[in-house]
Amino acid sequence: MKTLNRKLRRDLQQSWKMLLAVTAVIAVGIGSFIGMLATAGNLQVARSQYYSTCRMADFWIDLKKAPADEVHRLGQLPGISEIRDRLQFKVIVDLETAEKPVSAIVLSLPAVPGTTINGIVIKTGSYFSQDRSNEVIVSEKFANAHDLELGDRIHAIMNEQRKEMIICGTATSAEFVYLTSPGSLVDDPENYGLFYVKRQYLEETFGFEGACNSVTGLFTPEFRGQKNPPILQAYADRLEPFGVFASMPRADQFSHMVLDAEMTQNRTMAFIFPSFFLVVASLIMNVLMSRLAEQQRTIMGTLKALGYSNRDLVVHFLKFGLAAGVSGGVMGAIIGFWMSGALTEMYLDFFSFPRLVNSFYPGLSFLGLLLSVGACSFGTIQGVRRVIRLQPAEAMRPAPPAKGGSILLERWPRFWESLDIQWQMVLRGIIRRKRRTFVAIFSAAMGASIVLLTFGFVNSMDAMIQIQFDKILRSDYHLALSKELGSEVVDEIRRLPGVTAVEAVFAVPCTYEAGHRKKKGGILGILPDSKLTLPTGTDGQRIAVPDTGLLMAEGLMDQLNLQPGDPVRLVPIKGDRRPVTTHVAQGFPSMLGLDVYANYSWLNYLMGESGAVSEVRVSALQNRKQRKIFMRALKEMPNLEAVSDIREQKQVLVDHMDRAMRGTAVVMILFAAVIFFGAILNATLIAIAERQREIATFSAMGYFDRETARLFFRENMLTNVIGSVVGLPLGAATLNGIVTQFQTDAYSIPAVISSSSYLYTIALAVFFVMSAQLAVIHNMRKIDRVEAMNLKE
Amino acid sequence: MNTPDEALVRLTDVYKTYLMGEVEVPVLRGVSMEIRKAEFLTIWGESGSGKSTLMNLVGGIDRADSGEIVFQGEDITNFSESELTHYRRSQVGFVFQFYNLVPSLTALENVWAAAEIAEDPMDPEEALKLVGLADRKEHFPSQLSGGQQQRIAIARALVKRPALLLCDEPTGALDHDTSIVVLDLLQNLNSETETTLVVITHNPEIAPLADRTVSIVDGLIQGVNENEHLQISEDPG
Repeated sequence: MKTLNRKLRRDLQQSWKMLLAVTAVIAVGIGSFIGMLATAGNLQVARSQYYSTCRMADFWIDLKKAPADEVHRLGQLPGISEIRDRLQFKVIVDLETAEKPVSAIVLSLPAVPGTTINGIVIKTGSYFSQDRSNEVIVSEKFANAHDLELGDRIHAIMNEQRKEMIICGTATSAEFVYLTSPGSLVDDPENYGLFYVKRQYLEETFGFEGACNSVTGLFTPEFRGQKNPPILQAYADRLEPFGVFASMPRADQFSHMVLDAEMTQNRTMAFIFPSFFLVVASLIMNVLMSRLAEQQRTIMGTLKALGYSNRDLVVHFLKFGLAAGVSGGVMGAIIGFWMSGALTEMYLDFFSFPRLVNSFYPGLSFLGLLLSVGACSFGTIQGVRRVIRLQPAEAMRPAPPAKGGSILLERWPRFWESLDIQWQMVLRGIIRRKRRTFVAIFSAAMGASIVLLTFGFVNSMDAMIQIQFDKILRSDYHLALSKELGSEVVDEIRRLPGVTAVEAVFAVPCTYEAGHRKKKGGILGILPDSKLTLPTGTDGQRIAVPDTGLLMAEGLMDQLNLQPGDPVRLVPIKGDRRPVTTHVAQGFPSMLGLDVYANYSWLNYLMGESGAVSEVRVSALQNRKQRKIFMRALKEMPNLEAVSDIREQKQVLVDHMDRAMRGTAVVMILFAAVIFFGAILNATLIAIAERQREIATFSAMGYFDRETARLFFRENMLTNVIGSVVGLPLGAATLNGIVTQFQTDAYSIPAVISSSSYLYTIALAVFFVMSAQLAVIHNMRKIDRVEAMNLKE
Repeated sequence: MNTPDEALVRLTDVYKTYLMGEVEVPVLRGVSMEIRKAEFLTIWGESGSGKSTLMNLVGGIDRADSGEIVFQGEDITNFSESELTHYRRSQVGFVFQFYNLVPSLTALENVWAAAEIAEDPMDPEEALKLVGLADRKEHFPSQLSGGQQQRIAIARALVKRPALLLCDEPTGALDHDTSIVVLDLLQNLNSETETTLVVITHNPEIAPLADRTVSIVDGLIQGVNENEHLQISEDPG
């Protein structure tokens, strides 16, 4: 078979351009497959290393206040191997460098470093010294965002007292790889900090001597990794007398959950997105190889007559597939490594890891190689099957002339006769070469769907931001209170400079219970004539809050299996936690999480309160000076738990999306271009090779090259525009699918595609065809006219 | 020219019909004949008479609809695909009208392509010497004349040391002088290597060069002539 390998090598040299086109399509597909899986792998590795360094907890229980020794005594359960009790509080920080009060979480740590659960990794400075009680270790990103340095003093309102702390170090923690401030969707280190202080200092400040309000711990190995181990519920039940607010296994921990979701998304996309490319590559390979086999049918017949078996010849052609597959796989591995590098780099923007590096995964590259070779081989076998199955004598006879009869369109003479001869040739060609036309249309459909998907994703993100920040949240600031206050707090804020509107909100964090189903969430009680909070569906429609009953996100209703009118039990997480039963008045398609709204007064009544305020929403029109005074006043408010600057949150989100989406979108469009170019160039190079004689004849008749090239151009334009139009609904459906896939309890993205995105997609397809035409003309010019005319029939 | 009577191939009542579009065209309509060991046989017929089909069936590159084709005691019409491949590989050499060389292989490589799969092949260079083209071994088919290409094709057929050499219009695409060279070569090979040689031709002047001539008309054997031995170079036709 060595001699046939030489033939193979020379044949490969002759058709390298076409093989390169296939290889490029494959490489991009395999590249994104490897890239996304490797990114998930990088995150996974970084997370496991980080978790083991910090001894990440397996569970968390938040409670009101419990004696530390009781917490340990009650935790003596089979299945729990270690318990750590600690203190955590939400505080407001007054930074001299920041105009507005900044929200933060302050957590206790042992005074001396040790192997504590949910430990920290010191980045600069050191752990607490024994010299001062008020030392603080600040989260690294927060310190960087505010240019905080070792030895700097910061002030925080803790337990209604203004306290001064001295920075001794900066750190990160596995518990907060992803950290968002309340109400924000993305990491916003400037507006949300983490402060680690000595346990004793917090105990004294908050009056928690010998007590704790947060319990974390580890399970014994057999319970580790269980989604909802019963042992956790048993422990939480034992702690119930101390007021358990929440208990969650690691799977439900916010940072962990976001990381998990991100890895799952990458892994899911790694199978959806590349399959587009592999199918297209396999089809192109099919066309390429069937043409090659057809062109070599006499040779194949002769080789069979010499005694080569069908298997020998299949193996021979498969080596073409192998060549394309291996080069595609190798290029794919390179692209994949580059892509996982870029994606991993992007994640560094979202996640805080002490070490997140891009690794090369040989196994993954090998899998990519197998997929690549598989797709090419499949296309090859399908392409050459027909010719190889011929009896040698049959193969050596010239192929029967292509069917020449009239096409269906010709039966419509008024239309047909209005076409010039070139259009007639184009249409006949397209309709007679059904398989190639199918491949051309299919490839364009895939390319266009990727383009539309990209534009649609950007549109959807914009729509989400627009609905959330321009339609639902009309306020400028949200002021969360550390405890419920009376309506006088609203008046107090109304008097601040530049404030144009103030509304009270009564939020009730609770557990919903319907039958055996339970879900944690929160109800937002808003005024019936609210101007600052306007519940809006994913479709952009405003929804009025009912006088009684709950206006519930449809996603939550599904999870609880509820219909409008159904009763639902609420167990409040704070206060006296007396359960009440009410009903769902109406559902709505909510975008952000599992929103539930209720009438402010009715919710107060339901909870046995009257005019209770837990949050104040403020609209303001302020000049610099007014804003300064306003912020100064907030910094001094004793019961303020968190300040959210809604306009700034929007900007942070927009910036984030921009950073994350811009590069991705460019790469996606480039990838789509590879499909378009790969398919067009391949189809045209084959057509040029087959129709050399026709081209030479046209040339002899006095046609300019560009006039002859117009034949190919029209054919490509027609198939690609049809394909792109077919690709539009496909892209829209894929977007819908992906958006559903990305849906979490925290948010769902509406699938929105603007009409300009459809137009841009088609315009881009037209642009790709026009660019590919340059290569077509270039290759046409290289035909040796005389030789082509003398070609043996 | 020894002409032993022992049959190498015996055909009995062979039928073959082609489907041309929707029309059935009977090509062979009950052919019975024999090919004797080591003889030089020409099969003569007009275009469309079925002579090429006859050769294809004997060479195992097409299948008969019915009838028997017995090669050295085995009916090849019952052969499986792989048995048929093995048969072609070990017993048959083909020479075609348009040479059918692999254009991307050199002269020597084309011969190698056959030698590689044979059980006991000749040295391919030796085969090229036999056809007088040892000096052209590195040439690609496009760099050779028609006669040279056909001689390469003959070398390719010979290199396997086939029992049966089947030539379909071997001079059909060649000019007069070149045809003489090729036929001379074939005749010499037949006499020197005792390879059974079957030449298909529509040229009535070539037919008498062989030991015997089978005439075929409209898919039926019309006659078999035992020829006086003629020297090609004397009267090539």
